[in-house]
Amino acid sequence: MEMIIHHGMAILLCLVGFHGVFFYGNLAKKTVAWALFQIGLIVFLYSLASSGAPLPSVLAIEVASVTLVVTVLLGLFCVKLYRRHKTLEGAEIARRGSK
Amino acid sequence: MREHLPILILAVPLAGSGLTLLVGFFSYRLSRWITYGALILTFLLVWNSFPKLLSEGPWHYSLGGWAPPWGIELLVTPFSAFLALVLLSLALITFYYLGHFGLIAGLLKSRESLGGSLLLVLVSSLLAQLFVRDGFTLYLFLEMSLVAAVGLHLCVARNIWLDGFYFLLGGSLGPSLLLAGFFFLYASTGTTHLDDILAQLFIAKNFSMAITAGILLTATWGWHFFFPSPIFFTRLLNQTPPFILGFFSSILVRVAAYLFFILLFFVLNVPGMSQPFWLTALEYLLAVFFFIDFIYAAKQKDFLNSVAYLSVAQLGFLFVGFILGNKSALTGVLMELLSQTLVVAGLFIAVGVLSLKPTGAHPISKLAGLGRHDFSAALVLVIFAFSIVGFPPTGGFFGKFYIVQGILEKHDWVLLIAVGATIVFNLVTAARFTWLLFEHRKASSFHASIPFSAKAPLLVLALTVLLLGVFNQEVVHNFIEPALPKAFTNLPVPNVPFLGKQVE
Amino acid sequence: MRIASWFFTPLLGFLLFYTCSQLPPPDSTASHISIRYVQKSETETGIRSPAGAVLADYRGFDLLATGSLFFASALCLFLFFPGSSRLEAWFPTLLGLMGFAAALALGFLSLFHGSNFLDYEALTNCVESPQARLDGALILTGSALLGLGGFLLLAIRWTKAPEGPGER
Repeated sequence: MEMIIHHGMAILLCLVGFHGVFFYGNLAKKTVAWALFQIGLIVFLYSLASSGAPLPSVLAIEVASVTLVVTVLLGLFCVKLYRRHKTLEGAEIARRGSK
Repeated sequence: MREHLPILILAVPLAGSGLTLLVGFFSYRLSRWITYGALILTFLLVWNSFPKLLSEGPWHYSLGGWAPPWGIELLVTPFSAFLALVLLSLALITFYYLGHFGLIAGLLKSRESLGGSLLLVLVSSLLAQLFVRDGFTLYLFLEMSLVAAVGLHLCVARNIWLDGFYFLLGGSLGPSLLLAGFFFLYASTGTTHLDDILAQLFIAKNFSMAITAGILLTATWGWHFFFPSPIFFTRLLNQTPPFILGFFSSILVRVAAYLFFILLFFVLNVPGMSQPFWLTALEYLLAVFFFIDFIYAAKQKDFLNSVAYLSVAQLGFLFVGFILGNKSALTGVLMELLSQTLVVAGLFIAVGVLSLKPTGAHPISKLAGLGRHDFSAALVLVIFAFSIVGFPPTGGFFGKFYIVQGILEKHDWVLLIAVGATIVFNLVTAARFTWLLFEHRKASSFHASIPFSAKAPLLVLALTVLLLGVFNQEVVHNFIEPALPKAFTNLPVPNVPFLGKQVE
Repeated sequence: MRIASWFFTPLLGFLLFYTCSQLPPPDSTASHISIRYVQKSETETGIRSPAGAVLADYRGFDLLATGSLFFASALCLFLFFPGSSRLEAWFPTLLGLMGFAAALALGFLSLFHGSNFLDYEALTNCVESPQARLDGALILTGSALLGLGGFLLLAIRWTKAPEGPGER
């Protein structure tokens, strides 16, 4: 139980993120949800780093930089799609694209 | 320099990628040759590692001189080197089609250098996945391969922004789950080195952690294993040139299957562990789920969709081998993996070569009478089809032969029925397909003549599938046996199974 | 997909909470690996902070992989630019990318070779130099950061670039 409380925040973030990736139809929301999942993992690492081991904080930095780059890339996809279709609803864009 | 071959194999395509991009600014042609050069040089480097690999066994290489688990280790086994050669050959073939048939592949000249550069990054990241022995590094290269793959998609396809987004998002969720699995393993063992994780799990007898992390690590590959199923990737299939789809379906997916094998049998296979009944049932369902795709493949009227279903369905054989987990089955899995990589790439390339257009419909009915019009092209298709069935002397036959042997050794009648029914079904479908290829029809069905330069790589792939079968003993002895879990390498057959169900 | 999310999320939640309950307390992660990092990193790498030593030296290859990921992402970004703007963004970014890749390679080479590439004699004779690791670690970290910065700058530049002909 103690460990669940210790890592609870990280797990909740992961779950919210995971749910959001599937649940939302809006591409920007999906991107944010994926980033939340990753942030959950980073929080998990920081809670491990409290023991004084250097590896978790190093891994957290690297995960954070990868998350930043991929989130920006996904965000740019969203901007590109919004400029073209004036919407970010995935289903709507797909429908217009197949016409 | 020879002692640094493992890192050079990864560094050369990466360096070539930068050079291709730079030179592409001045000359497209030179940049194309640099891409070829980097791929061929990497091929030769892998080839040069074989004398040491075959005489001394797996090659452990500590990066920066730091011994594992403190540093990062590359482990080149004869099998991973062999798979690397297949990967590089397919990358060469893909780039050949991109370059020489740019119009068919949908690649603009101005994008060729960028395409070459991204292909080299993708190749380097996939090679790293084959060799690296650290969970976190594996994550980084997995993410890198996805980003490069998205780039390649953007390079060759038109109006693919939405699908590119889904490809990157869906693909990245897999590595995130992998990361979650490895972080839990790290929190419980204090290490990210794959072999060390197994040792620490065994010392702590932490079976529940192995099972739960195993489920997360299995979920990682969900996206990879369903690529390019027409159910989930309909738009992508219609918009991406078949050459690129072939490279991704054969290499991206089969490297993922190899990593899945490594994780199951070299990281989570803790001796003494037993898995719950519900998990076993789930594994059986998963295998059957993949086999059902063979029925969908047979029902398709579009050749590309049918090949896409076949690519996914064949993974069922690998899952059966993983469930059984004995020596014969795992030998069959690795043999089947090699054969599937070649066959899937070949079939997608055949779709591209036979229709000679980047996108759109590829009706199977157009193949009627192909054998009378172009015998060699039809023969190649027949070889691929019968390798999927498991007909001698193809590589696919020996893969399935060892898997069935594994089933019989374990007396698993449920799997025997599933595999047997699948093979019979595929035999009937392949016979009907062959009949279609050689049936006597009026010339309305197939007109276009296929240039030899377009067919040559296909012929090479078909020949390799046959050679894999003919020299199966050598392949098993030299490449597959040293890649099996340690319990199997000095035999005779202990029954160490999927997630360590039972250990003798 | 929405239905799938209601099915998969509770499943993942159960899995994550169950796995968490099985974890040992964080203090016990002071494992065989961490002990060496904490106790010997300064003497072995010349870097005072254990985290810095792990990031840039023990696991310098991860940094190289992260840098390569930035490189691949920057390549993808090129494809976002329409034809004319791509040419404008092309050359300066290309030079930046090349410089970044060269620095990344040199930093890694210095770590990997163990001899300082700034000292030609030492490099050609494979002489181990204590300074080499430190230099390599610094260059590798610096170039990875530059790569990240370059990627973000390119991204900002694209958002300001007009949509134009030549787009696909």
